[in-house]
Amino acid sequence: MATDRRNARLGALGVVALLLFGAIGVRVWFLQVIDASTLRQRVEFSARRTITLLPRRGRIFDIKGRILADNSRVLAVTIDRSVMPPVCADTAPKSREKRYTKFWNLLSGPLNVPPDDLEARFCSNKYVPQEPVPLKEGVTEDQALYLLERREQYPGIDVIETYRRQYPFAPLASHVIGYMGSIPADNKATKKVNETDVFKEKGYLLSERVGVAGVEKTYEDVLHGTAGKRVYEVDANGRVLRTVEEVPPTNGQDIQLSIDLAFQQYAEQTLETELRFRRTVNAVQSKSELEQYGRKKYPATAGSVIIENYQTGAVLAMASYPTFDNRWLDGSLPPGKFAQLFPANVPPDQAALTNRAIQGGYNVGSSFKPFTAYSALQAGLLPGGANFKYLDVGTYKIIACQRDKTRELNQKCNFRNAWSPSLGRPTPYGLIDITDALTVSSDTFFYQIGDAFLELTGGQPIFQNELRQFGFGQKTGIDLPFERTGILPDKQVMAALRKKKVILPDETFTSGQSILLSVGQGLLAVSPIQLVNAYATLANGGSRLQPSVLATIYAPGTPDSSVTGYADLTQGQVVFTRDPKVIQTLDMRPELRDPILKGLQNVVRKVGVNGHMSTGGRVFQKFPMDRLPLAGKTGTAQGAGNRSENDSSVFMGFSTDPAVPYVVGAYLERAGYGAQASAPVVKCMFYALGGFTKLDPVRQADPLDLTATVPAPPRQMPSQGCLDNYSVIVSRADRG
Amino acid sequence: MAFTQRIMPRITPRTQGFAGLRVSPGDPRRNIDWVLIGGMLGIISIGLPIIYSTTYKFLPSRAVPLDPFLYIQRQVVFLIVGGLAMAFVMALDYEWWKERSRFLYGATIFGLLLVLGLGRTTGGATSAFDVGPISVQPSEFGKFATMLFLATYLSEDRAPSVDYSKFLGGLILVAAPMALVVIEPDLGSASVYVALAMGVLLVAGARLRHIVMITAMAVLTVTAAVLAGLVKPYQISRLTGFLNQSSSDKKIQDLIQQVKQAKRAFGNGGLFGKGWLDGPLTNNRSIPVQWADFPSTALAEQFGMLGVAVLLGLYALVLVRIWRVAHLSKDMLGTYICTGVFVMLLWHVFENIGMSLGIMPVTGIPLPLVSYGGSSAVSFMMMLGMVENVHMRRFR
Repeated sequence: MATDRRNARLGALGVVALLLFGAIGVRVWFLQVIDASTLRQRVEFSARRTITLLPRRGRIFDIKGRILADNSRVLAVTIDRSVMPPVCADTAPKSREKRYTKFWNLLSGPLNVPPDDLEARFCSNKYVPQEPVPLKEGVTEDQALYLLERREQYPGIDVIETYRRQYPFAPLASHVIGYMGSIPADNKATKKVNETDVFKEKGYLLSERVGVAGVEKTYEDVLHGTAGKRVYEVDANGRVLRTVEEVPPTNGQDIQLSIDLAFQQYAEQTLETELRFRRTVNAVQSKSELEQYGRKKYPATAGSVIIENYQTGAVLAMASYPTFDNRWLDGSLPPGKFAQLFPANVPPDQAALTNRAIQGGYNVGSSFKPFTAYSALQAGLLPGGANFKYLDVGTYKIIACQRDKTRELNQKCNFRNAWSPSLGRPTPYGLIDITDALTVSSDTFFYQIGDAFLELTGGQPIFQNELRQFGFGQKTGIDLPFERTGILPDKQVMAALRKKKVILPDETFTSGQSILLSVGQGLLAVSPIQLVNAYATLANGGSRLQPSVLATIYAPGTPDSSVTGYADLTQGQVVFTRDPKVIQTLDMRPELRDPILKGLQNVVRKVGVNGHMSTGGRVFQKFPMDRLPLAGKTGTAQGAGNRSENDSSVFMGFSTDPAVPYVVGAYLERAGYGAQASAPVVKCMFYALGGFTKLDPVRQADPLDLTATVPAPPRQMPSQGCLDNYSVIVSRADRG
Repeated sequence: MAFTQRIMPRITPRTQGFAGLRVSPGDPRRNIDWVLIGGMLGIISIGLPIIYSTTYKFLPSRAVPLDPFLYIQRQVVFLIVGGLAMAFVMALDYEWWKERSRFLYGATIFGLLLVLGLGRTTGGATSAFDVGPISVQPSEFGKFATMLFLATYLSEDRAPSVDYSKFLGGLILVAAPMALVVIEPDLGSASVYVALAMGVLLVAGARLRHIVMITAMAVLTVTAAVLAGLVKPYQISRLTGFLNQSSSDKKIQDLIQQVKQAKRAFGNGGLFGKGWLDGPLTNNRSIPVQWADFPSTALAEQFGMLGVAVLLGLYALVLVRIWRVAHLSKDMLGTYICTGVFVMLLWHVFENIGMSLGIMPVTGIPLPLVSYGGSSAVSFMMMLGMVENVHMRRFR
């Protein structure tokens, strides 16, 4: 019967089941009871791994608490090198290579990175062998989860949390804030101090990004913090079992700059607007120039603006054009993009990464005259001091030539004032004192000072020693990297320059050099910050301060404010507050300072001297001097070939109202006379500083336009009324 | 005969059903085998803490604070899906399923073909699809479908024992999905098909020489696969490692090391175990893929022989209930279904625990209802649902 057979067969199956269960039961009994003691061994896996815990970088705020540099948390996929045998060496066996090619291919998809790039990263010697190598930064949580869930397929893969630097208000103040970059590889041949070793000693990982420009570089030590470590116990696959020891990292401190982004934005906009306008203007050319070169427009390619508080040395704004967006330099640009944005072989005046405010080295023209004046008064060079009168006839013949007529043959003897088109000869200013000389910017007056310094002091560098008190030829010590030292020519400097073959072998510090120095020309090289700081010294009555962009250092973790883009500084814990630092105190007795100050005040007022108008009078004619009294000085630095379109425009101004203690300096390269291009920019800054102009609100940046072909988008100031460009009629007499 | 009589349930006519409804005593809903379901739930309730203990430390990375409950949550979802699938299987008469077995079988073959082309390769075998966040293994569902189709095929004529042509047909029917599984290559799953064919054909009345033939066929298939290069070296080494546990070959030693650790886990556990979450080998993740391949080691280490005995007892209970239903079935189809489920469950338990104990070669077949994995859990719950189905409808 069917049922019978079925039962019998099911019974057989049951017997099989019993046998199998019996086998298991016996085996379990054997393992767990009989043999247990021999199997039971101490389970010890002593594989330990130490991981560096990177600190979170400090943030950077402006004076109002706007967050200029922030960190965003990103996930990075790392691979533990020890899990994989060395596959990078050329000696690696072929079969092994094949095996890892497969692995990279497998990873390539989820990470969306070409396998070759992954391998290159893995093999890069930038990373410490014991530390996991980051294969890709900025993966999504989903990607991370995908990989972590499939660890069996991806041995050694882990996901760590890192931070990416962000610049919410870029491109504003990019030159000041700076940017991050890889720890520079050393050129052992040229560098005495091995920079890589310095970072290593400080506990950096070579894969870390560090500040390489701006305050990111200057305050690297403050912002970086100290790395911690975590010691893990790991299993054979490199997976973390437990933490043995943990030293938490000390996060970097936050820093607050003295920069006010509203003024910074205004300065950048004004500078760029003015430069763009100047490019449309015909250069003021002489007839012979016109005949020789034809009609030229100003190139107006570059420039800078600085606002410095002359009581503290704090920099309120520092603009340099051409500028860039510092988000381009976060290390994630596709290949070729960097070369497109920042081409290597451009003329120096188009290099966007240069901060001209501290790295420019310029002739500064007549804006140098107040210091020549101070030197003369301080050295007692002028009989009667401020009462000394000089008859300016428009030309000056140097003393050596007056003594010895033959000298005229082998050196330049005659120096002239600016050309007066109406008179058809160099402008004669008549009988003038030192105040008048500054007001109308008489060159001849200062030529005779420069000449007299060399003649009367018997070749002693007394002139230079006076000038050095204002900081020329030395770094100001501003807390920004790559500051230019500048050149204050004297015998030694020229000897050094001869040695370096910068100048001809027979050039020495002659009367001609001293005369050119007296009007800010010749071999003199001054950076805008040096000049601004020298004016600050004059403005504050003799304290040469160290300019600075740092205001305060806060303990790590200053919270965000409820207003987007701001930190709540009231909740911040102050670690350090910068106090004004006086480098040198100058003798500024009233009899020394007052005639100069008076001259500078006259410059921006409609004051006539023997029928000649002050150089800045017309530009500032509408400025409310009663509400914000100003002083200032124009300067026109002659450029290559003394051609008009190469004239660089300088204007230095400061308020004499102690409630608004600011010096504003503008230097616009190859943009015209001082009164034409730079003076309007400075005037606009004072409209803003005096509160006569409403500043634009500062907005956080839009995401970076990756299709852009320029390092920063063009910008314009919203209201250009203060520039007065279109109404100013400039004559050649305003050149000074 | 007497034996059968004794375990036949007494039919006590009741007219008052639930909620006062008039329900006949033969109503399927009144004939659910609650002991079987209880045994199943018992196994699941042992499985979940075991999976947790093997995975809670698995994901947390240094950076991403991943949920230690991630795996367990997923497993619970799988089990809920399995429960629903089981209810669905139970709700429809197995005659209905019989009608569709041909289609399900066809779908299985299609799925296995598809996975060879499109599937994801894990640990050397292409056995799963990625469907969103989960991966589906067609071979797990293939077991269910093949079992159903084989039972249908054999029960078509009511002969007391299968003749040679019928036997051969049944063999080919099982061999087709098995061949595809071997190509993947997943020798563990292939062995399940062999066990299925052996068990069901034995109960269907196959002669001893038929059984010998199946064995020969299995050996031939594996040999052919090895010769054709379909079987990966690691799979061969698993086998050789099992046979030669004192080899000094590097690859085999890794494997032997795995088994050694597994055995050590049993030893560590002793009689009463180290306690939950206190197993050093489990916590150190010394045993690879413990949550799926070696859950019994985690059980043994943490709950000792006592825990293993309880689990084995629950499996035995479930097997006995399936065996009982095989007897009670009103037709041969039901008997064959129950036999198929019985054999597969038995084989999974024996192979999985056996490999942890070092008495079977290491394969990837899961411990039913305990191992982490959705396809396996759903598949086994559907099989048990089919057994319940036979039990529920044994009177009609």
